[in-house]
Amino acid sequence: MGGPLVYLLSTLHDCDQVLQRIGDLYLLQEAGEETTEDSCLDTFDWRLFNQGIFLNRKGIHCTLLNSTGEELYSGGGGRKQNRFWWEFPDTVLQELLRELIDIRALLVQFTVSTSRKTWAILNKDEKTVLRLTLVNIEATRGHEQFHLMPALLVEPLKGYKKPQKKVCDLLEAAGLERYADTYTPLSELHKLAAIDPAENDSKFTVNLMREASAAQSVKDIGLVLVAAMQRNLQGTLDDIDSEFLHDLRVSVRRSRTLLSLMKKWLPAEDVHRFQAEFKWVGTVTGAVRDLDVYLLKRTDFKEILPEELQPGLDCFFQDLIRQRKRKLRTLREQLRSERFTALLTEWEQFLQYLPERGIYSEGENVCYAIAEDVIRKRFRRILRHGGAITPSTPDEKLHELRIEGKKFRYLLEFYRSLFQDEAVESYLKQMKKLQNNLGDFNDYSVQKNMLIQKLTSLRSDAPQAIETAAALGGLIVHLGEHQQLVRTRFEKTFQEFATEENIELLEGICTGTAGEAIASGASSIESDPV
Amino acid sequence: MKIFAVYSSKGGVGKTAAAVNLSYSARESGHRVLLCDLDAQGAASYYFRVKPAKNFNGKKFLGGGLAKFIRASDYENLDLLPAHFSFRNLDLALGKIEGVKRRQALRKLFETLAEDYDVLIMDCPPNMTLLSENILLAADSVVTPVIPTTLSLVALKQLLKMFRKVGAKEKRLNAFFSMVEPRKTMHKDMVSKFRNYEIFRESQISYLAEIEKMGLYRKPVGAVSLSSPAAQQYKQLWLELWDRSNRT
Repeated sequence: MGGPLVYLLSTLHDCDQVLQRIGDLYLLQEAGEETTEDSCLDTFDWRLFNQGIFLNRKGIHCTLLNSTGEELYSGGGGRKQNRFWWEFPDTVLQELLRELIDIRALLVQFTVSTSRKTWAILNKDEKTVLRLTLVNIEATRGHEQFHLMPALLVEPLKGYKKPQKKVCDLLEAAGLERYADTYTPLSELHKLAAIDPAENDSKFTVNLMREASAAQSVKDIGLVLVAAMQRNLQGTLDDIDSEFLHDLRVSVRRSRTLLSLMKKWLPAEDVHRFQAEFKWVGTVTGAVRDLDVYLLKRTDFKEILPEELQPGLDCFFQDLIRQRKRKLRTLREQLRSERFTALLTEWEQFLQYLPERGIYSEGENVCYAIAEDVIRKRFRRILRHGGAITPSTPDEKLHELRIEGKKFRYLLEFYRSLFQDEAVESYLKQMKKLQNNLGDFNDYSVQKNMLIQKLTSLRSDAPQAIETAAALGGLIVHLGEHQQLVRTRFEKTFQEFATEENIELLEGICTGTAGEAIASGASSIESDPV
Repeated sequence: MKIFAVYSSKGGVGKTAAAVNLSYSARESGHRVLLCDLDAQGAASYYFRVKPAKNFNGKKFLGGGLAKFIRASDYENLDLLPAHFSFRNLDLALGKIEGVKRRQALRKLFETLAEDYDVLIMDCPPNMTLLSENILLAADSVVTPVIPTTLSLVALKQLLKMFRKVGAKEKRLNAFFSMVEPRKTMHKDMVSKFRNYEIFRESQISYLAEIEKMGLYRKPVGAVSLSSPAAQQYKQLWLELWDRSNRT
């Protein structure tokens, strides 16, 4: 049997009158009334909702439901207000949440009060043949209050189709409209609170017009990035989870890339100023992010080591946690500083007025032609530099290639709405393989160096110095081996990237032969974050 | 899906009351339950106030497609396949089925419902026919109420004989004392004599007014009061039967 049919009651409808009409046909029996209060939990970017999952908490009890109302979990959630999956006491819930929310924290998105009044519709044998439930929902989010339109749920019972049809006909005759989609109160709350659950996603999305000027394209791309910085600022300051800072840094890095790639078509003085300021943001946010990366790897690191060496890691991580506390304090000061506030305001203003500034005629060039030109040049550079790497090339060259690759990917993401979406998508997939190789190489290298530095600065009289040194030594060996493994794989990965087909694919994207470029107007595009 | 048949060749031993109340207890334990009323008198259907669809009959029942004749009870996760007057002729219809399939017909029919229910309980008519043989072969557990009187024990002996005849395993037989009145000496003696037999379950159902009043309320005893002695006794019996069905 399917779920209930839903009718929304606007202020125009009188519920009592509707019930009275049903009462003329059938016996109506009150079958219970209840009011429940619970919290709707989700991550900042609505990961649960976007996967059709709902997590409610009532006291210490947690319920995880899918979009059809099926219970995936129901049980204790612990007394603490758990934020991360690993903080929940039950391993079943932990595993479910781990898949769904990964490293993001759960927030109380709405506090919901639901009152339900149910009636049984009886036939002449006094057998229930249909159930009606009137649902009233009030919700709060911060200081805001929302009242959903009351919903009348018609719950059919197996084998009793006729009463269901009769009652539905009657409701529709009374002017009630059946809710066409699956009714989820949370979707209705999103509408009332003007929340777009897709908006907080860290994926980069922008729509550009093909005939727009270079300045206009920088404005459009830049404003999307400013919005992402602003969106992630409060969560970074409140230290809700590590993704806020990460996403903030990604938007800053993307903005820097935008400036550097498009500098020829922008006022030079402003480019220098903003580049310097964004570089400063990168630096002041770097320390906490670096520590976050290690702390997120805590379990992985532990699993690498044999059991005997694991206790030594605890000391190391305790130290990282202490360091992070200090660095976070500094980070907060910087992000609350006048310098940072002014940067965001001035950057936004710069972008807003950029297309109207007449003094730089370069900015009036059509962005499509520029993008095509820059993409081609950057691509050739990657092919040249990557092709020159041999097993004896110093590691720095691989790091440089990684940065070039990253910039190139950002470039494609910025301008992909001008080109055929599928071709860009397919190309980005190829690029991802190369970047994963370079990224892994870089990660192993950075992590190994940091651990070596830690090891050399470890004082012999520090508590548990021997255990810590042993654990760090174990990790350094492991990371070194893996770095070497990834390095030997580079050449093959690069060859697979620099194939004729891929070169042709990119040429096709630029010339529009990979499929017709979008002739005019815009298309919606998406891309992965870093 | 586990199939339980509440069966006795003797009438008036509390079969329907057991089938109805065990179904209710099973859904209280969190199972999705189908009660299949095979007795043409339709007493179980009556208790649930469910009437069969107008186009339903024994022929259609055996013809398959049972699902569309199932009706919801007033209780969540408890559905009913109501009896039809034509069920009195189910034997004749089964007799027309060829060869070995004849005894397995019911089992095959129920296989189609395996995804939708965890528990299927049959309320069986009091006779010893081809339908009874079908029932014994379809059930994972044959539950038989026994009033602690000599006649009831005779019926139990006949049931054991039938088990051997159709080749059903005796360990699937679960007898329990029904309508027990401890103040009656005969009841007391019979219970103490037979309670330790392998086929008897520990739980007993007493002769209680609440059970008789089911006809008045047209509800399972648990739906009237979950804490009543009758509801508690059926719950106990259900838990014992469920536990045993998972062990055998």
